[in-house]
Amino acid sequence: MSRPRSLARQAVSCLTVSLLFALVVVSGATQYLPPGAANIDHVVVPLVAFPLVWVAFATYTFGARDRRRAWLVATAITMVHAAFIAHGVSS
Amino acid sequence: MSPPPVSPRKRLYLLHRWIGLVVGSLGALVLFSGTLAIFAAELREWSVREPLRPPAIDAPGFDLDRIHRSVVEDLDPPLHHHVDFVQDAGGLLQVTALNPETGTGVAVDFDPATLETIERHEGPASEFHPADPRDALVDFVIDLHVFLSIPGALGLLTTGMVGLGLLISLVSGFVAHSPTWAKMKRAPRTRRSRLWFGDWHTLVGTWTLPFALVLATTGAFFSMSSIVLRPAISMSAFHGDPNALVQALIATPVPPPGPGQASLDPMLRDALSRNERAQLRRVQLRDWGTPEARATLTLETEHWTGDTRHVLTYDGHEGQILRDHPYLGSTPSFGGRVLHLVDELHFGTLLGLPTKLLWFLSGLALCGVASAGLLVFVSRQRDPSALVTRVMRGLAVATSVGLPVAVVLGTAGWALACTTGAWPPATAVRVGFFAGLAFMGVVGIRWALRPALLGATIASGIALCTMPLWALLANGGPSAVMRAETGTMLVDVAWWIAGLGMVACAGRAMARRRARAATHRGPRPASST
Repeated sequence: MSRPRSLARQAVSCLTVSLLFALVVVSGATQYLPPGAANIDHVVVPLVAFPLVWVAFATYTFGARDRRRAWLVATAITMVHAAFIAHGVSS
Repeated sequence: MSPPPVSPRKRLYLLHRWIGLVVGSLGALVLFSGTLAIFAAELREWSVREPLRPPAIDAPGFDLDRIHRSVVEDLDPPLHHHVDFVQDAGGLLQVTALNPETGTGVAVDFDPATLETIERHEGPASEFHPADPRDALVDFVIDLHVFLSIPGALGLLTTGMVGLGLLISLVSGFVAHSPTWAKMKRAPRTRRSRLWFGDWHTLVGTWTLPFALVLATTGAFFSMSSIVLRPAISMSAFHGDPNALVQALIATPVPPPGPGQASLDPMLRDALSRNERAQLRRVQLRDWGTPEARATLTLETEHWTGDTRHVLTYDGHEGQILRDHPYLGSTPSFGGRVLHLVDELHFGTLLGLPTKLLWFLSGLALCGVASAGLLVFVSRQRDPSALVTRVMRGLAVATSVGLPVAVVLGTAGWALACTTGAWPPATAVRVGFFAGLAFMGVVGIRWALRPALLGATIASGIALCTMPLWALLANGGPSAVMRAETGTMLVDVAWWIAGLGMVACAGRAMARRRARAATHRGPRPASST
């Protein structure tokens, strides 16, 4: 009985934390993607990709065989993008 | 000793099951209303039977400048700066002169055939064109799809979560079910209902997977973009200014300051010469009579393979074209094309009527996949009288074959409200729909699964056949028959086909069950005399 409950807790945490991670990643991606001819590509592409980024994070962190490693990779990607945001906001 | 770790596939299977329970119930409402909303324009024509009016630009003696003068010549100068001309397909020509600072102004409705004034309103803009109560039916369908009938940002957030839930349900379901070519070819086994639901879920779910992925991704994007993504992206890319993001996407051109005022007719002729067979939909005059005057013309080319919209902005002094607008941004770009494609993929307008029909049928199939998933869960429960099983059974019946009953009760409430005026139609359609859902839920809770499904299917089929009557009632009774256009009659036929189809399916299921029962009983022993 405790196993499904523990898995459910893990699922909830993976899904919600992945939302936060995906939000940081798409916001950070606006800093390095090329803006294109109309100066909107760097905004539109991350916006549209948000659901796919989220599902990639959620599936990876919940379904990976080595979950600790999955969390480390996801956190590292998010931190890199958070640095991009910090750089963009401060400049 | 700790228990062995759960394999990734098993973990994703459990995730698919948990998320599927939510997506199968809430998501079914979003999917079903979205499927109906594909034909929102046709449903609106069906529910509001007004004669289609000709395009105003085809009227003899049509002169945009003369219409403009006739509206603004007696008005105070602040009302000259902000003027809109609008004619939706088949509608009146509506001209509005508004003071954006006070929100008040003048609106004049013209008959597009004769260009005579039909009605003139003065006062707050919100009172210019009160909504037709008969619009409440289609407005409810769209509200249910976009907001799940939950007001404001919470509604958008909920449908956004449903979209994300559908997305991860698809990915986890793909891993859990591991579809193979053999599974994709196998007809659902009819031996037991549980097997049939499971096989149908896997078979149709696999075939509709690309469509479902597109819908879930684009739907989640549309719901989340304004409430979650826009503030986040504005903060990182536009120093926290959401208006700067909107300006970058819309990119309104501002003409160089100049004297004088251009005529509107040459602009219209130029726009029409650039887009043959297009119809004028809207003219927006902004800062008219000031150095930054500009006119934006919107035209639409209708075709069965898809309507095309053209937006052109002209300098208000010289009448020179400033920009032939792409879908987004100041010039054609990759991002603009991506967002245009997202729009066409979500609404099924990619290739016009063929893709709308394909999207409609795939949407219904996807509703069936979600319902079949719920039914698999219900039929696997060991104790059919347990509270959880009964509640899930009620949800499964209400959000599968019970949905048409809810639609018909909502429509009946809307029609009665339009006829009697006793309640606001928007409230009546909402109350009718959710009362229908609750009724079907109670049927599912109180009855066993098979009789509940059969009963709900028959009730839905019969109810759907009454849909044309409710539309007639809302539009003034039998006289509305004379106002029916071809599209309206096709919608009536579609309701009858759906209703009779559901009754036929239920009859077939009952016949199959009787045949199976007769086989199990075996031949009657010969009587010994």
